[in-house]
Amino acid sequence: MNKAVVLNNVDHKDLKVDTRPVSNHNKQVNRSLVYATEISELHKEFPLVFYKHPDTGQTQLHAILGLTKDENLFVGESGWKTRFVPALIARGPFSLGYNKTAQESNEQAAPLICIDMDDPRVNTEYGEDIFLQFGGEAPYLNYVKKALQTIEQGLVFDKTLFTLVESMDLLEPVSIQIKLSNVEEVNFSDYFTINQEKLAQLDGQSLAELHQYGVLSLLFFVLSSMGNFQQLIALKNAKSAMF
Amino acid sequence: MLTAKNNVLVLEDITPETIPFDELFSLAQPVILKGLVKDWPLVIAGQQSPDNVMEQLEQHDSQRPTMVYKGAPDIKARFGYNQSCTGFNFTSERTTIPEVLGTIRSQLDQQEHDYLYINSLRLDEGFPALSQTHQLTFEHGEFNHNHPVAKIWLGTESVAAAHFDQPKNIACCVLGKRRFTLFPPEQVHNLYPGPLTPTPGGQVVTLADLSKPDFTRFPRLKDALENAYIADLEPGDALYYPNMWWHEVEAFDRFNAMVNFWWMTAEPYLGNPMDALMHAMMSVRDRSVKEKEAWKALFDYYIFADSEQARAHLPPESQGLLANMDDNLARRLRAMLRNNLNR
Repeated sequence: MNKAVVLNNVDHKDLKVDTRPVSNHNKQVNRSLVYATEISELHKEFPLVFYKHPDTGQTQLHAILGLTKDENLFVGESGWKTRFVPALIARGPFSLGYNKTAQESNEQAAPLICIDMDDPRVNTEYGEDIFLQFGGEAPYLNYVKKALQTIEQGLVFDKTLFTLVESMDLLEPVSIQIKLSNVEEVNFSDYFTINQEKLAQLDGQSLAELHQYGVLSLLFFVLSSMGNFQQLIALKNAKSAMF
Repeated sequence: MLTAKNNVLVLEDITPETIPFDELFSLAQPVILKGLVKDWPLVIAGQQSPDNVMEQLEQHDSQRPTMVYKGAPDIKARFGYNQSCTGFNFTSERTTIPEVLGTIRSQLDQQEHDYLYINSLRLDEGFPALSQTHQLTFEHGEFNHNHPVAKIWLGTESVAAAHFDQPKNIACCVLGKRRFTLFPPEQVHNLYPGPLTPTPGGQVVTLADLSKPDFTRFPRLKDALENAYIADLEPGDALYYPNMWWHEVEAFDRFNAMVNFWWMTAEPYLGNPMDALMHAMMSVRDRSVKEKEAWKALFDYYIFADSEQARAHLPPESQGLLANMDDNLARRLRAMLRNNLNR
């Protein structure tokens, strides 16, 4: 149950957030929704693929984190091994909300940071301080804010990205079969990536349009991120070898 | 109510094109510009009947949603605080112009009625066509970087408790009688300001009711009233008053309309003095008397005295924050303060 309240530096002055992976062990996932606004960072670490929901047909972007259920190969005992973390995970127990009364007036409502007080990572004993001693914003809060901003802006940018790739018919199903050993094999379905051939054959006008919307480079990043499957396999094999 | 001993100056025969800004600014007090906007279409419409004004407003309504303050009959036109000053005696609702005018019209015959007030609605947003035909000519160096913004104020009888605004103001009475009771800025000491937050309209207001002064609870209010300037406006009249003057605004008719023009006079990169005041509350107010005296001397030296004095003995290249404020200096200070505050 999500009990989100608006964060403030009086009621929540003593709160900390336990960011260790063990604090959230029930919630490890093998993929994360990611946003167009973070492709340029995340493609350096994770395989990024498009996902079409089989029922709704809705398009999303996913980062692949593991090869079996609830497996996140990029997280070790002491936390993330990567330089970048998907914003949806980095935001921790925080979310953005909007003031109802401000929404009713004509002015553009500024989002408010909310914290889920029922989240097991929220405590007063262990972890990252949210506020400084006298109520200033701790570095961790700045990090969370950046993640929330990535999500907020991503919701808009995603629509641009998906509309363009779909109108230019640039998606093709990913066919990846990963043979981990003689017995174990992983299959991916419902996933799509950019069709490299179609992208290369686009006419000047289409390329200009993709560039104008800031999307062209992202398509190449998504393509090159497929190489990160190698890293994923290496991590998986290293983990298996330990047992 | 005590009678104020100050008389508000009245200038006659001035048209929207011939406002003597130099004279107004040097007088540095409230001045009535008698009949300044008597030829505005809404003022002429109102001479026939208030209903004509309502019709004009409905006709030119941009149909954008707007906010209205709504009070029950028992607030007796005073939009203010609840008993404990933690909230208000009115509600703020999202509505439309026809809805507000409809409510006022439907209660015109009632002795007891709701109080409604649309305040500070941008004229060009609410009534684009009327903003073309209800203008003043602003020709003065002061307007080069700060063009006045026209706002419209509509509603039943209303009393807005005395408060100050940071912009300068020309208020044009369009329909209904209106009274401004004004106090020079130093009267703050006698005006019993309410909480800094929440405030009914964004500005701190006096807790005193000027029409029924309670001198037991607010004894110094007597001094304030003795120093008051009272400006009674008829439709077509306008009032100029300097910024930072406290003013209560009363509208007396069953339906009233006013258009005002606001302009800031300071460079936009300057910070908000209210922020400086709150910062000083946090940083200075609760120190020892001796320490505060020392800080008072420093504030006098660096802030309130002639700014040339603090830098005259320094070579220009070493003046730093003591130099004349400009966009870049304000940027550096803003970053520094922001960083210092975050602890």
